[in-house]
Amino acid sequence: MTDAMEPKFDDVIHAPIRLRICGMLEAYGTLRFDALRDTLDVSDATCSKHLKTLADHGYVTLTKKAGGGKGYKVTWVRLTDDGLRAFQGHVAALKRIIAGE
Amino acid sequence: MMTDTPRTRPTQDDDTEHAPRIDALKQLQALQDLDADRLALAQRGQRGHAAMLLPFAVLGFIVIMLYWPFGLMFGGYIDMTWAMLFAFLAFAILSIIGMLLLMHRYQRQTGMATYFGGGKGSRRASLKAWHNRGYAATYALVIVTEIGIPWLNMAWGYHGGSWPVAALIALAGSIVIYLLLQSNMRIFFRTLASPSSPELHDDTTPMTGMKDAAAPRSAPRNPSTSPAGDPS
Repeated sequence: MTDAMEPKFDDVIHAPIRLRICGMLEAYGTLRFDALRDTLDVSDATCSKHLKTLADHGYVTLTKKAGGGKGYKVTWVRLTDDGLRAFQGHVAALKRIIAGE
Repeated sequence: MMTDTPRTRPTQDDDTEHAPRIDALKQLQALQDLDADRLALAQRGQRGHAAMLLPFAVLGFIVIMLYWPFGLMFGGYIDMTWAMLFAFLAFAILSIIGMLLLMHRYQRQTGMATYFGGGKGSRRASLKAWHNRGYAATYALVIVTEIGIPWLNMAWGYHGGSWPVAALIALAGSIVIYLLLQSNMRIFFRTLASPSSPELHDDTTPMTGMKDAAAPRSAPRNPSTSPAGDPS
């Protein structure tokens, strides 16, 4: 699927943490904030900052849902279609760089 | 005094020549990071699934066991009919609620929505998993066992069979379902963990990581050492 995409370098996605966030969301669609944070091994603040950047560009949607216990809400992150396209195009561009084209 | 010494010039040329190669290596590392994350999440999902399997097996035992009195009902034990019918219906509804609760528990434990509309990647992995004979066979066997064993217990009840044997059938059935599901999901998560860009890996065997949850990741975890730095 990624290979079929037109290579398009995306500056927003290229930041390492954001690239990894998009990579995880591409595979799993929707993930809870803590699953992303734990896998990235970063602080809450760092993870939030990158998610906000992605959300501001329309690449992910952030939804708060009950389920954190004691009335806390947890954030679920979902990759949008635009985000998916941008990520796949960016990965194709990276592969092109690797191939030396 | 500035002079072009033969010592500095070749170094600058080398830098220029090596820059694209270093950049390519960084991008390669970035893509390998993606696969390492995919593996870590698959391991997380597999752990969550393993925690869910035991309550599922207990639930399976109860449901299979309930088919026995249902069989008794059809076998001519009229005095039990309505009580058993309603008990069966009540437990059938409870089983469905139980299943939903288990799935909710999985989602809560792992933070992954695989069972509630996973991403395109997980749907792709699911389709890919069907090409694996083991996955297809265990999936089919799970369905056959889930449908077949309860009816076996019902037949036992129909013929007036005793409850200890019915309990034994239920126990054996739930263990078989447990083992089949375990095997089935192991194959699924292995597929989910397979690298997105296998052509970039020397070793494309994702199970190395899936077997050993403590296996070292293929890429450094420190974002400061990652490719382009963080512009934000």
